[in-house]
Amino acid sequence: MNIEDQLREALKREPASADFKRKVMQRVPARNTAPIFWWKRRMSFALASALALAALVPVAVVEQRHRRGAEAREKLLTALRVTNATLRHTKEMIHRNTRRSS
Amino acid sequence: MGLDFARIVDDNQSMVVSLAKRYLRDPETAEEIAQDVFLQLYRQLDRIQTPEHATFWLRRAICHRSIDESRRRKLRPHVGLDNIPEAPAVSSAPDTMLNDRLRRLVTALPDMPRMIVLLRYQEDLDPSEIAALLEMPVSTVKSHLHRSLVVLRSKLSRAGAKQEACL
Repeated sequence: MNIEDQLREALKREPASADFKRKVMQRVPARNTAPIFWWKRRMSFALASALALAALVPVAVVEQRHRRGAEAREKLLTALRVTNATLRHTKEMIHRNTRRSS
Repeated sequence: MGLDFARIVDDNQSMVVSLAKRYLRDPETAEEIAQDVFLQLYRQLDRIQTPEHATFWLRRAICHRSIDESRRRKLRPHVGLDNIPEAPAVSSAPDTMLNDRLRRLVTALPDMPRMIVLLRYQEDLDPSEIAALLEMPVSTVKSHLHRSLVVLRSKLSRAGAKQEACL
């Protein structure tokens, strides 16, 4: 037998210790515990949704108030314009009647 | 998850542990590193496509982890190829004796030649596969192999001659 064959013979793989696999499996994190994993994921998702909702509600309320304020201001301006026009018209009528009577 | 991790451990534990033990010469550290490598694989299991891919990944990982560990801990002082100690000629059966001697001589090789010899004769890899695994030129692998064989042959015949002289 030449030295290369002797080396192949001498360097055959040794079996691992009897408890090697058990030790590896003990150190494996609980990745296969699917129910807990999914339950945690759902909880996280629900929490994230609740937080997002809690942040969006005040924004929507403020936005709605802002829009109502703008509408009210617009209505008030229109009313003032109408009043102004009416007053001007009334004033002209009074002016005309006064001139006619004098 | 497509691959059965427990099955991968079953199929590869012998390869991973043998490489680490023979390279590091410290069974406890070797076993610890072998466990770490399997855990590292477990964390990346979704990227591993086939059992052959897992074997390739593990072999590569244990080689590099062992080399890093050896460098980090400086488990042994640097030994040149010419300074390899003679193998003691003590054993029972002739085959076992020869195998023991050879294992001791391989164990005494310097780091890189030792890893290359292990990959060549334990794992039966070609020089090109070893070169790819250790990220070095094929010519360097061949050179290490050639020099290691010359030294091993010489030390082995000297040890055999000593034993014959004793008898």
